[in-house]
Amino acid sequence: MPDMIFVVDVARCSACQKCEIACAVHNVKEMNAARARIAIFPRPSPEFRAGSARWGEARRALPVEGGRESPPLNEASGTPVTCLQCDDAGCVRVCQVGALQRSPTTGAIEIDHAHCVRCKMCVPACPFGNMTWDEPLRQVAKCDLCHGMPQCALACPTGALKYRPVSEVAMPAIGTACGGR
Amino acid sequence: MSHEPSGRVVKIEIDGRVVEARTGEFLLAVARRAGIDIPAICQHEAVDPAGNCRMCLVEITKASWDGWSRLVTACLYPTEQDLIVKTHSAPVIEARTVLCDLWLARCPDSAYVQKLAAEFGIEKTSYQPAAVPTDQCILCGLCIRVCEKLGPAAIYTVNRGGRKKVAGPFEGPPPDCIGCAACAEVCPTSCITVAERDGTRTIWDKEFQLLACTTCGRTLVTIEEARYFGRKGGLGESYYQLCDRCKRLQTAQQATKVAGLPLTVGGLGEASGRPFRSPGSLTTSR
Ligand code: SF4
Ligand code: SF4
Ligand code: SF4
Ligand code: FES
Repeated sequence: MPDMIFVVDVARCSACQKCEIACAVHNVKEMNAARARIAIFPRPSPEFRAGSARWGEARRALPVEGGRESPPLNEASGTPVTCLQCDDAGCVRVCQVGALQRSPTTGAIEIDHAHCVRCKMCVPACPFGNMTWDEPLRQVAKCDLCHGMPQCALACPTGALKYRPVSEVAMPAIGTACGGR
Repeated sequence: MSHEPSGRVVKIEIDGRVVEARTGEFLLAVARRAGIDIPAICQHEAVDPAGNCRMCLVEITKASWDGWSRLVTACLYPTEQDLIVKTHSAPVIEARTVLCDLWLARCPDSAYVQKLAAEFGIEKTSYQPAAVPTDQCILCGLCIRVCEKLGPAAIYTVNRGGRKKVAGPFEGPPPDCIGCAACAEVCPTSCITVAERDGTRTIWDKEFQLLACTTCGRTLVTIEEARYFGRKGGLGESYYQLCDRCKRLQTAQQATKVAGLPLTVGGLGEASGRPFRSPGSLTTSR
């Protein structure tokens, strides 16, 4: 049983995207958020709602990056999306060669690229979109909690992403965490 | 590798180094663990070794063998007590050189084979090159074994001798092929062609419809592959409506619906999210 847990606090994310950069630099040695294993979806902060005049103005002034319009960072917040290391994971279920295995130390599902035959089926098998295909590497890619030192959490300045001892995290009852069993 | 050595721990010698291994464990795996390099072409962790390419030949002997030694394929040779292994001795290099020479005669146009042969000092084959170079396949059989492991077992070797090749039944498009292209991905010489255009993928002369994201149209796998592996993994078809990017956006939207509440994910196996629920239900509530 791993003794650390990755915690996401959506309300604290300021959409600064430092986590995406830290992830990409660590995993693919490139400052390219599009290749990160964590994705930040900017959303307007409560005082800066979508549809308001200021929001519309800011949006029109911004370039469209990777198909999504980013609002000014200082006035936005974001929602981080990364692998949930699912208990009964879709990606693991479809892999026919056992290339996806849970690490006993971190609890993360890791890809063994020497086993992977690149059928890419684990990508559509993830219901949350957290398994990706990294074309430059020609490999499937997912968050593996950086083998126990998640770079995103280290880079996060607001505490939206944390890697904490399980004993210190007020865990909701398992039933609640999973929306009830 | 699915081969699980159950034997006892013994000491063997590889290139003068004493290495621990279990009896029954294949020599290639033992050498790799010790950081000793043995070239191996038809070996892949996803499948059992088959000893087809013979590139991994090594010389083995024992003190008790009275000077006698022999060449074996390391990927398939089980460890025994007191084995002395040489991975780069003169007979080994000689054997590997002959292999490269033969491959170069069979596949003179293969960049992979040319490069490999050059490493053994061969620029031109000393054999009669194939009159009409058939294809760039060295018949290592890795594609066949991987396809079998994945389930379809759609391809095999047909014909014999010089006309031997990998193909579907009657050399036509393989009816059981699902177009996953794993065979092409693992092929050491990259000689299996995969062509993608207008939302289709053609491999082994068979055309497949690619699965397109219902929102943005991106494609990655074939519809047949998604159905086949999805069925094997027990996933419903609703899984494949969106591509990974659009699914991440959907995940973000659903998680944000309950904005202000912490979303706890990951690291706990049992305690983390269950995949077969709507992502919204993963957001914890107090
Ligand atoms: S990649 Fe997807 S299916 Fe696999 S563990 Fe992560 S969230 Fe679950
Ligand atoms: S791409 Fe690799 S890890 Fe994913 S299902 Fe196929 S073999 Fe398994
Ligand atoms: S593409 Fe066809 S032949 Fe190749 S591994 Fe997949 S099912 Fe087998
Ligand atoms: S790797 Fe051993 S024979 Fe091919």
